[in-house]
Amino acid sequence: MSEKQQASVASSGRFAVFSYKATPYLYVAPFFILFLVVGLFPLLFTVWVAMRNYNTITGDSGWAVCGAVCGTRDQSLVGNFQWVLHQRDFWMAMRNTVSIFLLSSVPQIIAAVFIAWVLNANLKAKTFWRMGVLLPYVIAPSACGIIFSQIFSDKSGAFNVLLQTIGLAPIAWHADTLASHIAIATIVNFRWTGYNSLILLAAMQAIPTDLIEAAVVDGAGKARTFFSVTLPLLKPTLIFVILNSTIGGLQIFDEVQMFNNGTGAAGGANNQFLTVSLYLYNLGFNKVTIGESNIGRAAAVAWLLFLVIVLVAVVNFSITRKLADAETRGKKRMQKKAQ
Amino acid sequence: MKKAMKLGAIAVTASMIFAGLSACGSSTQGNKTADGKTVIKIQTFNNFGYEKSTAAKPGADLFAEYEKLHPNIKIESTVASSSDEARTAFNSSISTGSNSYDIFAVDIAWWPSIRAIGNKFMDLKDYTKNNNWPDWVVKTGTDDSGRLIGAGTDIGPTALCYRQDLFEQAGLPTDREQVKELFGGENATWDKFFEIGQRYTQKTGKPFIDNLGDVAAAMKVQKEEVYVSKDDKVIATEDGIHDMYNLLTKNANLSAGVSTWSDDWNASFNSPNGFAVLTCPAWEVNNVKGNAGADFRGWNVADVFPGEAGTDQGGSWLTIPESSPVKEEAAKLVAWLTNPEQQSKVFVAASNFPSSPKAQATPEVADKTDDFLNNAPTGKIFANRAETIKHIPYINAKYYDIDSKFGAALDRVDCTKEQTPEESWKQFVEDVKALS
Amino acid sequence: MTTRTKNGMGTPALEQIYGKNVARTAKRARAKLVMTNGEKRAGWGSYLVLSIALLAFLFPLYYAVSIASQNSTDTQYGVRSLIPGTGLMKNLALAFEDINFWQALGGTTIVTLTVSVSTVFFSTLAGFAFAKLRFKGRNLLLTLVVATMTIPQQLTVVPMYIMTTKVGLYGSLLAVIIPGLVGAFGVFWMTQYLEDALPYELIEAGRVDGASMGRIFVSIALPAAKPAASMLFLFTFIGSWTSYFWPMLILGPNKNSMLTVAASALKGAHFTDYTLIMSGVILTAIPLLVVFVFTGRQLVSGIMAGAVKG
Repeated sequence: MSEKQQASVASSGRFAVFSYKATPYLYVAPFFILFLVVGLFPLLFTVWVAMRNYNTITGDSGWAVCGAVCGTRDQSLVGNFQWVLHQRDFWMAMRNTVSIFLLSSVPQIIAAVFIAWVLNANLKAKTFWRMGVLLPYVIAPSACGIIFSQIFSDKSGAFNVLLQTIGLAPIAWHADTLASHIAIATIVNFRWTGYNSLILLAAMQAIPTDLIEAAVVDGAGKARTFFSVTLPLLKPTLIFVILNSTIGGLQIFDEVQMFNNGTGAAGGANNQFLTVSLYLYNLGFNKVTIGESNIGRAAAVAWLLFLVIVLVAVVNFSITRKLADAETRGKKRMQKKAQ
Repeated sequence: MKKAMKLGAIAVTASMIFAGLSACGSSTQGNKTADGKTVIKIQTFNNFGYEKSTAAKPGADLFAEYEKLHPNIKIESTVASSSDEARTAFNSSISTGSNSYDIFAVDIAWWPSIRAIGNKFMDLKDYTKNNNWPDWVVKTGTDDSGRLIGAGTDIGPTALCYRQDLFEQAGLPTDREQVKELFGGENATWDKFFEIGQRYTQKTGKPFIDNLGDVAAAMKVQKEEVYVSKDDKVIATEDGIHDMYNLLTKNANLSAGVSTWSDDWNASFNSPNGFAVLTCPAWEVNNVKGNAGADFRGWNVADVFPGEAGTDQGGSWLTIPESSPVKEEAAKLVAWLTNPEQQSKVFVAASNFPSSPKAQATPEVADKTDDFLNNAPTGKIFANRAETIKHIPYINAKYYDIDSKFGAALDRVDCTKEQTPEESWKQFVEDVKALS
Repeated sequence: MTTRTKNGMGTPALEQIYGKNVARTAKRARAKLVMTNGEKRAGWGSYLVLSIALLAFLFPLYYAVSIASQNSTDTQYGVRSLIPGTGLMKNLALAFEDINFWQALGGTTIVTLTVSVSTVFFSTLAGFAFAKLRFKGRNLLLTLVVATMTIPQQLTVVPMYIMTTKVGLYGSLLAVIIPGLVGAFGVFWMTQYLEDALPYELIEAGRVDGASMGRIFVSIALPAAKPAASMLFLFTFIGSWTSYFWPMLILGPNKNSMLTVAASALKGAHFTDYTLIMSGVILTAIPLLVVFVFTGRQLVSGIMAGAVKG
């Protein structure tokens, strides 16, 4: 090998080393640069806005002030938070959001498990049924909201008309707090039950058949096998599904705004179905009063909502871990049995 | 796969360019068309009657007319579907001076916020010399430093709409002159109104009014001070409002309990079990017609309204941000849209009643009858109602925040029936406290 | 991305190593295995339950069509609204004009395609690096991605709004596109997938052959990533197509440039004419329903694969 050739190999080697070292950063850089702009920076920026007396129209005018509600005109870093926590509307919105979330996730998951169980049978035209239950997923939540607001009209909607035809009293879907939550939860359930049942179906299929067979050999019936073998093994997936619906469910907005007959910012005559997101929108972007910290308070609401989501997620996570531990033990036991 | 990636890259670039183009074309800098016309962008909401007439929204097609008169002008109009939606867009545009629009139509509900930053809006005084408004309209449109920042469009003189078919079934007179006398003519009072309502409901078992909030809306604007006093003190929980609240909730049994603008409210207008009267600002005739169906002939309107003073509900303003790059041209358009002649045209096409006394006196307005309301002389009736209006209540930035709480307080008793009047009042008092 | 859990090597891996035909045969064989191994054919009860579920899912859509087909607003309420009329085409045509359908479809398509392509591209790039390359700070950065995955949109709405209006993008489609360009979930998803689906041996083989990192990415990583990437594309596509809150807030004067916002605006504009409102809803749902007909199968397997991984 000539000197020249050697040099060229060495340099290309050095270059190659550099290239191998640098490329990973080149690969992640585009994502992180964009992510910095649309993800991380805004996050830090909300912290700032939430501490400032920030009006949507006139902008930033110093540190936040809670005002007469707290009986102080002093500036304070948590002024916006204090103001929000003093608002009855905020607490109602919290209550409604959690209530709608529970009403939409609990029945939905029960239904999804059931549908998944049925889908897991040896069906003809499998794909047809699976696509069928997924259909609502491609309808936009706002569109679902419009359709269902008509179905749930208090006096003229399909649901109440049917109730009256069979001689029952109509339900005040927009006036009664619980009824309105059920109606909104139905919109959410309509769109997500099928989706979740497919996730659960996949988890069911992942259960080794020998476990099921072992149970059957032990003389367990269909239902018993389901409750004592299938269901426990689904728990991690169930928690995953719940976690996902927590993040989405607690932010609910589209369905609610449409349920309220129009593009306004209200959540019912007496805030029966005002959700936190709707409240945030209302406060920060719609009912803007000059001189008040509208968007600053909205940022505070966003942080409070985030806190609740984290809280629910942490609770979920700790349950998942406990269950996962219990499950691995259970699995081992079962596998022993199967052998 | 490589091909796919390339395609992907092309798609991204192409759509970025597209998006960029459409961004320039419709929002920020574009105040000239390709052929050199000046573009004026205006945002209205619901129905101002400026657009081309459609089945759902009657209009006088004024923008087309103006463009014909001024060939160098191009008007881009956006109609927000509600005052709320328009307000959100307004907030965004004003906060950044992004000039999304050159002219904003503004509802009385957010007008106080605009007056508080009046210097951000253009003084229209020099442009509107030929316009003609009653004093109270000019006064509301003027900010604290005496600049006219809002040009009044229509006003909402309020008469009494009633279902003559339901009145007949209840044995009440159906002729509009007799109905006027029934309610007390020029001396009509709220006590009398509710008394007739009680008689009607007892006899028929049907609701008399749509909801308490609608009646309250008409009652309160007859006062000079409602929730706030002229020196900006909150008086919402004092006797004036409390008495009104008590009178209303005492008569809650007359109400159909359907919230205004709800589906059920819409569906009640041609129902045999619907409410029998409606407090009717001129512009609401459009909604009555839309909801009942243009062929329905049950509705009529009487030249009478309870209460000690004239009732104005609604009415909007056109305002121009100082930052608009075409503000002179926009001001000319605003002056033209709000002058007596155009106001008359709008009333003839739609039902938005002119604020201009001169326009009210023109034959097109004064002689207008409406076959939908059984040929009622709506021009004359609403002009008579307008004449009684001398003022609107003093309004500041707090006013509408409190107003929505008051509406909610009535709704809790009336529409959702979840609280007794006493409980609901207690909560209202707390709500008002939390607002300050 | 198919049923990788039960039977060892997944179809994509097979496909990559042995070619398409082998993969296809394996898939077929697997399907047979399930059939012969599995329980007996499902009974009529299963079909009954599923039919009821399907009817429940279809009813709202039927109701929307039924209202949209009424000849006049007199029959849009109550029992009569449940029986279709003959005015569907007329109402669809009216709504078509009212929401400026082509503009809204064009705008939505631009936004959705850009967002989906960009998300997939940047996620695959970063996902490949996270899954297969060693570098300082890898764990820290990956943790950052995972940690931000649970952050709700609402938390960034306020700053995004202030930023967007400050830079003069209020009302522009770019204001909808830019926040959607990248997402933490995409990176997480691609990282997870590539960790399993792309054997180190292949990358090593590429290196020995003297291929540059760029070449290795294009000719080895990308083909391996294809199944997960197309899933990510589909889900980002649907998510972006059906989004409403942010476009509604930021499009302002251009609300007619996206379908969801335009359809909702109809509800405000014609608050009494439900034949038109429902026609608008149907019009805006049709494009995605068409997409669903063609990609529903992939969607189903995508959701099921994602579940097993998650």
